[in-house]
Amino acid sequence: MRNSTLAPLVAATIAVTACHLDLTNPNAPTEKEVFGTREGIIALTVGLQARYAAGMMDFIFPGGLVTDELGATQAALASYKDVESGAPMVNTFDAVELPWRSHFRTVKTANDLLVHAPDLQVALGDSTLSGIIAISYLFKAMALGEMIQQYKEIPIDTYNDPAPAFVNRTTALTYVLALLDSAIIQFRAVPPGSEFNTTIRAGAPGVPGLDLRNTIFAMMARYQRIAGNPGAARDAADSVALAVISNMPFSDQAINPIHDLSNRSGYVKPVDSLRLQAESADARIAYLVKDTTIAGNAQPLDRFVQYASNGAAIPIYLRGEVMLIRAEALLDLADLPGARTAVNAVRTKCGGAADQPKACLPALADTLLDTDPEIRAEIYRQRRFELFATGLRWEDARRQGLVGVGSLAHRCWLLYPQSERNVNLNVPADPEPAASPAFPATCF
Amino acid sequence: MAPIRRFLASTLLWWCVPAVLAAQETGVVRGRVTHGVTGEPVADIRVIVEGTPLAAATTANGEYLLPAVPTGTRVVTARGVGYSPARQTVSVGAGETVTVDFTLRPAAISLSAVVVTGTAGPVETRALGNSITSLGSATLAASQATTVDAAMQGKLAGAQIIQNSGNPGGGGFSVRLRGTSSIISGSEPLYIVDGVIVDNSSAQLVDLGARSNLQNRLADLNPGDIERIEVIRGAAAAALYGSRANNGVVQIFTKRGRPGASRFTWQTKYSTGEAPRRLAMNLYPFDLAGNALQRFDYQHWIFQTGSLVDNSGSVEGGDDRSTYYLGGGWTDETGVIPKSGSTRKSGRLNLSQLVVPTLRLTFGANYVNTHNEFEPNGEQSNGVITALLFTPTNFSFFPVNGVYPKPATGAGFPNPLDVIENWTAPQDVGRFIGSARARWTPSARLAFEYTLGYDGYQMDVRQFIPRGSLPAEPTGRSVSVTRDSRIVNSDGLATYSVRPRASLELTTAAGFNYTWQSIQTTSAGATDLIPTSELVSAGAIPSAGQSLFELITLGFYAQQSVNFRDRLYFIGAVRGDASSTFGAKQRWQAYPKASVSYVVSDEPWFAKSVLGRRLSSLRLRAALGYAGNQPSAGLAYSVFDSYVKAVNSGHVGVVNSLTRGNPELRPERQRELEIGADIGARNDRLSIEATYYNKLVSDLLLFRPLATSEGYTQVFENIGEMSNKGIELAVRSINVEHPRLRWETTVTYSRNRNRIERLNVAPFTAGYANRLDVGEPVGFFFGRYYERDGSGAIRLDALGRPIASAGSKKLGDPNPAWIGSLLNEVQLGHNLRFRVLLDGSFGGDVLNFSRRILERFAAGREYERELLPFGNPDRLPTGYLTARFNIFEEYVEDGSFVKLREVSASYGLGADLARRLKAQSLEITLAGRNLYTWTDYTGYDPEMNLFGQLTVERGNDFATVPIPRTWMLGIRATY
Repeated sequence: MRNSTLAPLVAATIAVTACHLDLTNPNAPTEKEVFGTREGIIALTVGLQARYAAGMMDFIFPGGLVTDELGATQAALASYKDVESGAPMVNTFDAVELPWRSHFRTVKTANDLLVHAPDLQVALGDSTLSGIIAISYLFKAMALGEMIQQYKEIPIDTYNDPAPAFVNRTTALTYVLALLDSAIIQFRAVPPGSEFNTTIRAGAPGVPGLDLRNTIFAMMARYQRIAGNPGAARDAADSVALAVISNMPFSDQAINPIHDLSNRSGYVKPVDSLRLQAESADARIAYLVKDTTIAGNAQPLDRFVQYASNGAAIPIYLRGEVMLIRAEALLDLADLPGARTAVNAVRTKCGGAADQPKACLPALADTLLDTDPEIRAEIYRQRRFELFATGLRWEDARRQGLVGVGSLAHRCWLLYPQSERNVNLNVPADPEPAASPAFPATCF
Repeated sequence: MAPIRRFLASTLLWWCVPAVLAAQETGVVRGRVTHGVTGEPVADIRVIVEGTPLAAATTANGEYLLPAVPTGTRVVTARGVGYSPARQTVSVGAGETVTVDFTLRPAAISLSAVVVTGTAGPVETRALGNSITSLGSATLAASQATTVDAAMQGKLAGAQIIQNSGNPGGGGFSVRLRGTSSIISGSEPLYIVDGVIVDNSSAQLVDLGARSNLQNRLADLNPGDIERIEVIRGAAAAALYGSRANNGVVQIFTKRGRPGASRFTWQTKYSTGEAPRRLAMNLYPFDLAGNALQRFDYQHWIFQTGSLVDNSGSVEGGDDRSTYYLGGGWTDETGVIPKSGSTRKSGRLNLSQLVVPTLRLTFGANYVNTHNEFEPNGEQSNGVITALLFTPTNFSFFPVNGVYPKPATGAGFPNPLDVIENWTAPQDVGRFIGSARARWTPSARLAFEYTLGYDGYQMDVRQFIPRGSLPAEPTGRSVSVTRDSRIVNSDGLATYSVRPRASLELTTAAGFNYTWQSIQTTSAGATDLIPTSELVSAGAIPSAGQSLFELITLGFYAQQSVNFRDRLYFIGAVRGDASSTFGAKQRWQAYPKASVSYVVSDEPWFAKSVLGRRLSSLRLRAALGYAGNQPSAGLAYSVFDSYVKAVNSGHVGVVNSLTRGNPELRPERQRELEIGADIGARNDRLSIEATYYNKLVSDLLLFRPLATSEGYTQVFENIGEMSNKGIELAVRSINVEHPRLRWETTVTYSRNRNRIERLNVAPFTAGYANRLDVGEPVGFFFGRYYERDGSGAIRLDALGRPIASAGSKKLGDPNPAWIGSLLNEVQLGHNLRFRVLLDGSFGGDVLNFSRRILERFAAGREYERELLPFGNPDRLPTGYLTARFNIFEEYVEDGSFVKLREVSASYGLGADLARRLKAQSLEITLAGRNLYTWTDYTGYDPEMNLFGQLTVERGNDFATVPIPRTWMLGIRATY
């Protein structure tokens, strides 16, 4: 009798409780939820752009500190000061670790989307899916492209590989160009629809955000130029609609990382040589920086004007860069008059609503730009002022051979980070010692 | 199939045996048990008829009754805690009543305590192959401690019990049973109260010292309600608790009420506490340039004499069928730092009811409200003591026109007097612990037991920082955090025992255990506060957060015990255990154990043997077992690859967490072997309990770095092995046993060697200088040292300052070589009792981080030496202490100590006087805790730890509230 009351109770308890061990995480979506749902894939595509946006500083700061663009304040972490001064580099410095970690996290996110988004073709619809695929190719290409301007060799096939192999710069560059090709093909085959443009693509109403089409072509121009293909670079540059700007927007919830580290933390600021070495009438200076008096730094430092608020957007590329790529491509193709006109167009660019640097300088006389070296020198000079704090100056220093102690950049490459070396036996020897090499250093 | 059939056959055989026995004729055995020295009756003695399951316990007047003893020649044995067993042979005739009286000799050795922890069903200690310690309410009460952890200090071999700080409300404790058994999954034992698994976390929820442990939640229990505590220390004993038992188990039993007339107890205590030492401050009346200036020792302002009032009362009683215990307690404490304090109000009701002769229902309900006010301290710039260490002593913190000046130097410190006066950080815990248990015994051989337990609390914490008080938060900050913690456990157990032959008893048990735990934390905060208002709603810029963690553990176990001739015992058991925290494929784990216990001295030949002439008792035991450990609740979802919020202007997205999910996650697993002996000599008035153990924890959980090119930085993985080997000794001696004088001495000695055996990650440093490396003990000190010349003298630079080494080396070990205690208890006549407990730790080092800061930032007395006039032989070169700041070797000090942990004198008023006050008994106690510390350590106290309960970061002293020296006066009355 009594048995009949207790035994079922015990049995019921076991039965109810036994099959309950698979819990879900209420704090954060899991891989299954992100990859397996329409909402998850869309959120991941937004995350891809947010990830890249937060990592833009990891391309801009190390290159800026190694070259003459940026300097560390007295309050900055020792590692920033050491990268600026050219003291022996340590492979656990943030400046060494963060670009690697940040860019490869972007690559992983893009890979996740390329692998899993097509499974949801029906749920997403063709036009939305196409935008997701195209933007994934683009951001993977941008992340890897920025990596090859910081590390001599990189792994490109990293998806779910605990110890990926490294490839040389040529192979990596070919891969980046192929990714951009894929992005163009995808974009042309199925143009992204309104859902992609309004709810996924970076940018809020009234805020110019990412322009997918023009960014793909601008990046194609940038990396064809680095690859030494002037014809392809020119063609890509010609495909960019210069009137359109493509920005990564920020807000109080997602703070502009340059403003954050430079103004809010007060660690890294522009070196005053940009302002002092510019032509006096150059209108870009007042747009970019402002004189300031901060004592005790290794070099006299200015303040960012362009990035002075939480919500200041960072251009993904500048139309001035596209114009200068075109000028350089024409020069490489021996079209001197075309190149001259193109570089002067950058000098004289003035007015218009677009929130981008505008030199408003007079054109240089033909006599000052009638030889290849003269035009090339002017292109480099304009690249310095037009592309300030975009991270691109380090590559310019390398290709001009201006690397070594006391030169434009004091070293060729970052060391490979310790975090990768700890685990991945495929990491090659560091391309140069921790101490900065003597001038002229051989980078390639 | 054949073995199964045999098994079934034997099982059936057991079921048939009772019928055979029941058919026999019976008689009655009854009698009285008295104390061999005083002649007084002794209660709670177990009287058994050997070779049968028959047993009875003596009542308060020492009497027992065994109603149905099978006829024939029977051996009757009386055993009880604190007495040597006695045995008599009697002849029982059918329908006869035989009187068997016993006189029991007090004994230091006791193998007769009935325990339940780590075993399926109640069992006498003598049958267990593992060591188990049981602490009774008298021992706990004598400590005069306000928390359970403090009451256990110095009473257990193999237990390192450290008070991490001197904050009110207990101060936060770490308990290490047989060393450290984990790296990051916690090394605190599993706590069970009346069958309810209880939470003992130490989260503060707001920043009162980032990683400190100001109070752990065991402090919610009122020690006055506790009847006894059972402690098992490792896997060999704890296998039945499966994946939660690596660190041992502490099971607490509350008072259930005794049958008899209602008994009222009332107790009032008053105590005062003060910081035992002051740090030596720089009071040199000149600055570096020789100008006179005023200096302050702010310890006069930030310390006060704390006090504590503790009132508790209980009433208990009942009859054969029902018992009850109703207890209440109210403790109000002010700390040694002004405005810090702790209040605990608790009530408990325990009921036990025999519904029908075979079914007993037991209920327990405990409600506690704990309220604390803590001041920030430790490793953060808000700390009161912290600010003192960093600020030159010539700075005046006193308010000027109501404004508290802030030190110009340092990393944005607030003014500590302002912090004490104007900041608030109230913590409020409302907690309910309840249990319901049914025990159904359809026959003397068969028992079913089911327990449902619930432990739930809500902890509400606020912190208010006024405007303009903290440089980093110029507009003020208000934070409010609520933590909702619940644990439900549901346990069932069936036991069946049988004696197929008189010399053989077999007990089979099987059970299950289900635990569900959930922790939800919700926080709201705001900055830019309007004046005079403290709540979050006063702020203009709000923020919020929420987290929820759930864990489920399910286990099934079976145990077979064999008792051969009541002196040789075997136990074999296995638990199958699964936890939601682990990967589905790795989840189910088996934890077997086996033990043997042999009471050699019960052999008939023993008394005449060589050993028997020297020893009065001898038991040999050995146990081997496996247990597991789960990571903390915050890592409950580590099997998943999870995605975190990534905001892009206008859109909210997700991106992968840098920690990769690990679907292969499995519990840490410990294998423990223990071998021991319990020895009695001098007629059992001297006892020695000796145990050797060897523990190996494999599958240690830690974060392993990943190649960052994969898009992650780390994965939570099973990566290492750690061992603990040691010996434990507990010696008790009844030195004098006389009706007018009793003197008893207890000594414990524990030695543990911890070693990291394997680590699949590179060596790394945690905390400030605690390091993990293969071949070394967990958390050994590692850092820069003095450059020395060939003769070993410290090398100095051109300016006479010491030179720090470029590299680092091992500088010390926070784990003590051995710990021990010495307790003496003297009873003079009927009324007067004295008690002195010394508790010590030897060979452990402490990193005196406080001194390091004091010296470097000019606030410590040592800095006076840099201010002395040139030419003074004691003068240190300018910058000497700044150079020394980098040399950790200087600050690793010997942390060995002996503490006068407990000292007390109690006087029981004569029965006549008590009766005149209408009381049954009345006792006055004067006691002290932590009255004196013998140590070479130069800081406040070598016992504290900045990092609270953390496992690797041990032995760090940095701006932690010192443990007070306490004097207490108490009165206790029973009606």
